[in-house]
Amino acid sequence: MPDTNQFPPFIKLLNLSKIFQAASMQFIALSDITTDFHQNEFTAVVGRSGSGKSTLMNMITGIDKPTSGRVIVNGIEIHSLPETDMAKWRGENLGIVFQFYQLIPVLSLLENVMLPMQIAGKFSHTERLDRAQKLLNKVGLQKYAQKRPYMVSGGQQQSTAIARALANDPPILIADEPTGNLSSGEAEKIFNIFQTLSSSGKTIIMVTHDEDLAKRARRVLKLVDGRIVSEKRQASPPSLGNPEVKP
Amino acid sequence: MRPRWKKVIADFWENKARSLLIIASISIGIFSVGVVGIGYFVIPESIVATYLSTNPSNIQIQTEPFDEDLVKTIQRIDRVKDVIGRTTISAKVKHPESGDWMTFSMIAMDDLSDQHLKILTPASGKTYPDDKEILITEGSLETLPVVTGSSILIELSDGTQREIKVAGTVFDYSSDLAITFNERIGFTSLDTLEYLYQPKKYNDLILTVNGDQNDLTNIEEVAKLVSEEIENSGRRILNQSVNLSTDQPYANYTNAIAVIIGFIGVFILILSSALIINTMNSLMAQHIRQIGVIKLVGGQRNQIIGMYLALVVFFSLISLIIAIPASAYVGRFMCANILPVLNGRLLTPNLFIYLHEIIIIQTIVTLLIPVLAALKPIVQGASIPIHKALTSNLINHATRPGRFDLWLDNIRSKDGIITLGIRNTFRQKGRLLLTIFTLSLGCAIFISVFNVELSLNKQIERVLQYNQSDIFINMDRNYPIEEINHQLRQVPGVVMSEAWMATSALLKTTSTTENVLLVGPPQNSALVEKVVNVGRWVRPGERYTLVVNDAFWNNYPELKPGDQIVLDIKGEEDYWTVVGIFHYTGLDQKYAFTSHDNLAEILNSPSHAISYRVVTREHDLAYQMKIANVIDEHLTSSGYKVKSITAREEIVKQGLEKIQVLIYVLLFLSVLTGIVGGIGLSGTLGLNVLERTAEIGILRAIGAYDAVITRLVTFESLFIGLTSYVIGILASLPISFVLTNLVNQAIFGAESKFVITPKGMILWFFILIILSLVASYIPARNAARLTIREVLAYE
Repeated sequence: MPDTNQFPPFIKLLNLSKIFQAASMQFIALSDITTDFHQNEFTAVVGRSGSGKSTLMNMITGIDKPTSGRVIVNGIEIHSLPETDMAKWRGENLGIVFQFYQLIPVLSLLENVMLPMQIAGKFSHTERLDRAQKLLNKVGLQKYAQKRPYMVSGGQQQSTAIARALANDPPILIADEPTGNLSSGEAEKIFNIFQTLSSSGKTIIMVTHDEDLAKRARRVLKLVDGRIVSEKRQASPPSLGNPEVKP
Repeated sequence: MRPRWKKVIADFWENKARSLLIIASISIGIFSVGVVGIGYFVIPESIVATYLSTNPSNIQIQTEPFDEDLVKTIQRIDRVKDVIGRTTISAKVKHPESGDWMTFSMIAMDDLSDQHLKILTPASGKTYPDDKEILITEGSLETLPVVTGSSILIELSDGTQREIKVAGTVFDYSSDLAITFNERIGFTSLDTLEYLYQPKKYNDLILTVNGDQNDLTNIEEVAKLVSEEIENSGRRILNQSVNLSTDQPYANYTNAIAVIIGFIGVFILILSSALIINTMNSLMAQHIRQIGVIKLVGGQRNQIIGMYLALVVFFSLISLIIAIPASAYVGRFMCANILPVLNGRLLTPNLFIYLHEIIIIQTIVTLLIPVLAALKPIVQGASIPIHKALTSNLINHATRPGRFDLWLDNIRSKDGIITLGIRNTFRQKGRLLLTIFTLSLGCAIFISVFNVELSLNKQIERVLQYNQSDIFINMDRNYPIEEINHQLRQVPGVVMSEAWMATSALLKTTSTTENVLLVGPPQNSALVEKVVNVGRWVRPGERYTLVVNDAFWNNYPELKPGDQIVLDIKGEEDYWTVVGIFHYTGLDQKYAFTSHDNLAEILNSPSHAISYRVVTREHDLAYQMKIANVIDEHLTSSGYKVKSITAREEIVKQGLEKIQVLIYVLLFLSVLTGIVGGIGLSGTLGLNVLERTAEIGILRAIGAYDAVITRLVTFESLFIGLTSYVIGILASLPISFVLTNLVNQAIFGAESKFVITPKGMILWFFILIILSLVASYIPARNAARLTIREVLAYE
């Protein structure tokens, strides 16, 4: 695996702050955060509830706007984009994986994976179909392609959500507690998928409560009260491998 | 205030858009019920009340000229309550602007300052005319634009021209159809007749009876006594009609309107109920999670049921407060606009009409239906396990699709948004069914209106097939047929002319005497289509045979070809054999065709005629009126005296005007139904968006921009709209059939041929597209505005 720091920073956070204003008080969710994320880097963001992990993810994905500071992704200052351009940009550049999978229940797993490509207007119908099948194959769900989400397990739904996040081949994958709702066995499989994707060149930022799992990421950022209090890098994190994932 | 009641108010206040939607949904339903109910009760009541306020007559007899002595003689008959004499003079009036001569009826009576029968209602100017003055009916002003104080030029049938001052305008709420069709009417005193070189004599006897004025037998008995008295004085009865005191001339139209309003009212009540049920179900669906929280903090089932019932009642009461005055105002507006066309008026000066019975129905509907609709989801919600309630807002993966959903999986579009739109549409099937039901009914009623309109027009056409000429001319007396036809053919624009034998005859039954218009078109007339419903047409050379219209069935319900009736023509009674019966109108006017030569022989004028029919080159109203004027001038200047000349389209227009009221009422109601359906659709989409907030957020997270989200919601709206369109078209067939028959029975007293026009279907298609787009606008905009952050807040 190459040293990610040899690449220029892919995501730059500059003096990023987010303050939530309530009627009688204000809550500082993020306080003057400055950091970089490099291409191919697999970063785990850890911290207790209320530490600002999810807010940080919302800033990077453009889901929420910072009170001050800038987020620059691949040279684009994303918060200057209008909402529509932001959505299009997100569809092209980001894959988001949620804790509760968030698949569309009325669509089959295959249709769920095809949907981002259709929204982005990328590829022909046949190519979409082919790509979606390959992605499901990659996460080991090819034989469940025509099933609806309720018919498969939580882990399989989350694998489908990852396949969907990869549909437009985005360079960045953002995952908010992707294993938070899974059994340890399923969580292990999902984590391995992320590791494999990281090895294949994706930039991955994953928010997690699970410090054991986080330790296996190349880089671990710890947030306390909206500030980065520690940052650990591992030269070569242990890879457990995953028989279902083909690198 | 206890926290749970605070929550009830907070639920209402904090989600203002949803609260408004719920209130709008309930209000529009209750409002529609109110408007329809007010129309149903007020229109027939006002028509009868207006008519009764004139002290209408029971018997009207046209006879040879008489004076006050005969009036006094008739007054002495015990069973006669009140009697007056009047004179009706057919004249012409000069249009003050165009200078065209138009038909004009002048009615003269002794003392207009002391009216006690068929009382006129003053509208402007003087309440009674002085010598050489006239009061014009308000209905005349449309075609005779004169102002009080100005003068009009009158020409009598003998060519005398006189100026008369317009003293004021009046409403004649007792006028019958025959007079209303001839719209221009003026009332003057008997003294003015001398100024017009007319004898101070009456020719109409108008009276009311003692005893029950709504008992036809009583009235007919008195009519017979009066007729005998008139005949004893040596005068012939020329025309006679009897009426119940409550028998307003437009009763058939009023009945038709009441029937339509009642019919559609029931539908609107069902639609409103469906809308309310939909809204309440959705409201409760959104509160399931909160119910879980309340239960988590110790809330008991009954407390939860009480809280939510209170919320529902709260919504209902606010809707009621809005809907009652709104419907009272719009209902009044509707009645105030319909009544004048039916020669009635709204008797209340109030701007709002509050009827106890309507308010009670509205209150019951408002309180009962929402509570009943919400009760099931409230009880279900209150009984739901806490865990299930708390997770209810997440995307529900556990919902097992039914067979239909699995079948739907086979429908795939290359456009994933379309596939998603189709499947989303069928997710809330109960709600979808109610919405489609509402819209389909709106569509079906709208389409039916046009089918009913066409069937009414077909009825008019059926009437006109017996009178296909463009201009009807009545001469002052019999003139040589050849001469008049020769004169008519000299007028540019006249294509052909025919002389028709025509006379008024008296139909004598054991109890009554009624007027019959007997006509004899030329044997090979091109102006009458010889179509009969029963039997056959009169054959050439036949004597004393006739085909009669279906109004004869009023007196002879069993009348059939081969039967004989007695007709009195100019004092000569003869038996006539009915050979056929044709459908004419439901206006009770008895009309019969006989052989031209036979009638000419009876009238003793084989080569002379009083009535002429003309066909013009063009057939529109303006052209017919223009040629009618030229004919009038031409004949008058050639020394012939024209009594009246009428363009056919003018008669048609006046007839259609009444029918048009029905169409307007129908259209108003169908639009109301459409609005109920539109709000239902908007509500459904709005609630769907609210329920799918999380999914919309996910779509945004995977790159869906505003246009994609808007397209998804709009597609669903159009899909529902178009589905309802197909169902609506199918449903319009039985509804059109029932409505067409109801309306035709009410107006014409006969069933109508079932006809279909694509007009309503095409119009509704465009309305539906607009309705669907408008209905989806706010929900789509709200959906597109949702940010992922808001959506993730659902987690």
